[in-house]
Amino acid sequence: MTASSYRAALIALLSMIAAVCAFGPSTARAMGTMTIQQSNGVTNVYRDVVIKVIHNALYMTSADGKGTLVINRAACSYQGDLMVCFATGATLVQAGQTSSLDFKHGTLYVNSTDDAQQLALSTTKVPAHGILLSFSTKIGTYVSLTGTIDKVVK
Amino acid sequence: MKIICWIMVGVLALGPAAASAQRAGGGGARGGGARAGGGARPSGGGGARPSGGGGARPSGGGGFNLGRDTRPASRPSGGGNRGNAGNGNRGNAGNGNRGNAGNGNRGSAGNGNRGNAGNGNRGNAGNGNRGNVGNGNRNNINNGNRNNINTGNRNNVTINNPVYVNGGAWGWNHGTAWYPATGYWGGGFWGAMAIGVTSAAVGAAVYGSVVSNGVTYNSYQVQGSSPGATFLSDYQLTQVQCGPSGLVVVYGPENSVICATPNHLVAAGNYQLNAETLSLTSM
Repeated sequence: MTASSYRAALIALLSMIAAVCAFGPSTARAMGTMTIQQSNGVTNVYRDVVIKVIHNALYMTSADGKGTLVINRAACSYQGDLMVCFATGATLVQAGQTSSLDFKHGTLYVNSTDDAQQLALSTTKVPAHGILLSFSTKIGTYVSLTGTIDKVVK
Repeated sequence: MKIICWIMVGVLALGPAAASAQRAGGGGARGGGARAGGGARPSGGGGARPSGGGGARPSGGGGFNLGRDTRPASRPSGGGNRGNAGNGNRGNAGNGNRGNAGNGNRGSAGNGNRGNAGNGNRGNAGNGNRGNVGNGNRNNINNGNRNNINTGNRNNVTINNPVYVNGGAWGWNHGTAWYPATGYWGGGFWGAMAIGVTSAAVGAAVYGSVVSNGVTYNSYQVQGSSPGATFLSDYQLTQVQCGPSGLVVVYGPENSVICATPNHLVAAGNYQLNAETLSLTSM
């Protein structure tokens, strides 16, 4: 194979791969962003949180895989196409320990449709297959999560 | 995935010789990038720990910074108990005694027969037995026999939901079962009204009250977009403050009660709300 033909073949191959990279279907990936604001003002933002719904519980795992927050939900009802649930408890699984959070209140919005859904009385939209969670603890820590669900196990 | 894809493009573009030299470097860059972009630690990792770090995180690194909010108990939360707790007692308490007094005959007139045919008898069977266990003895001594004979069967007339007649179980909720949530008045059925230590909804104005068996139950205003609002809309009911007589009194989940003005669908009286079918059963 000559140098010029090698170059031509390589360019063609590169073009193909580049096209796939640019326009090819993207696989599911962790898209969640969790913000934890402590009562003392310290705010932590965690990106690439993996979000899973397994048997009516919501599992959120940090990008490093070392922490998982489990939210139990109840009183789920639909507002249009948007499911609204009240969070009833939160558990942190981390460092080999399972600890209940001193949970106060929280609300969870789940959009199972292929279209973005508007929140009632709000300008906020929940993206397709997206989730929006906010809850507080008794000592005043606020936790919020936005993202898309990576996996659902019913 | 796409990052790897683009790295492949770069590797190929630089040619076979360069590619072998670059592969090791590429891997390193990928690893570093993942850590930085991963964002498990908001600001360089150290910032995630409020003070001293170790105390805030059980593991001393990684995961979520929620150490101050945890408590030793390791049980997630009592889902099962939560769901079961309220309904039985509430239903038993209310049924029978109060219901018999007010409305039995009137409520039955319009659509009672059909309601009874469908499910009234089964409802009576279940409720009666449980009711008697809880508080029936005194009633039986005083007037129980006549009550049971006269009003037993006419009682518990079900008024089917006018909108979800053939909706099946949970048809009003896209087929998804609704369970009460602890910490909310009415389990959250009437809206997101959190209850405090006194069992009163926090931040919600009392909307009258109902006294039943010597216990006062506060009522609160139903919030829009809640299942309770759907229920009121289905029956074309308008909520009013509880207290005066001649109202539709609806006993809902978790010891909740609301009142409404009677209309052509629902006569004045006491009703038990069936959350599954969003239907009313007279008491």
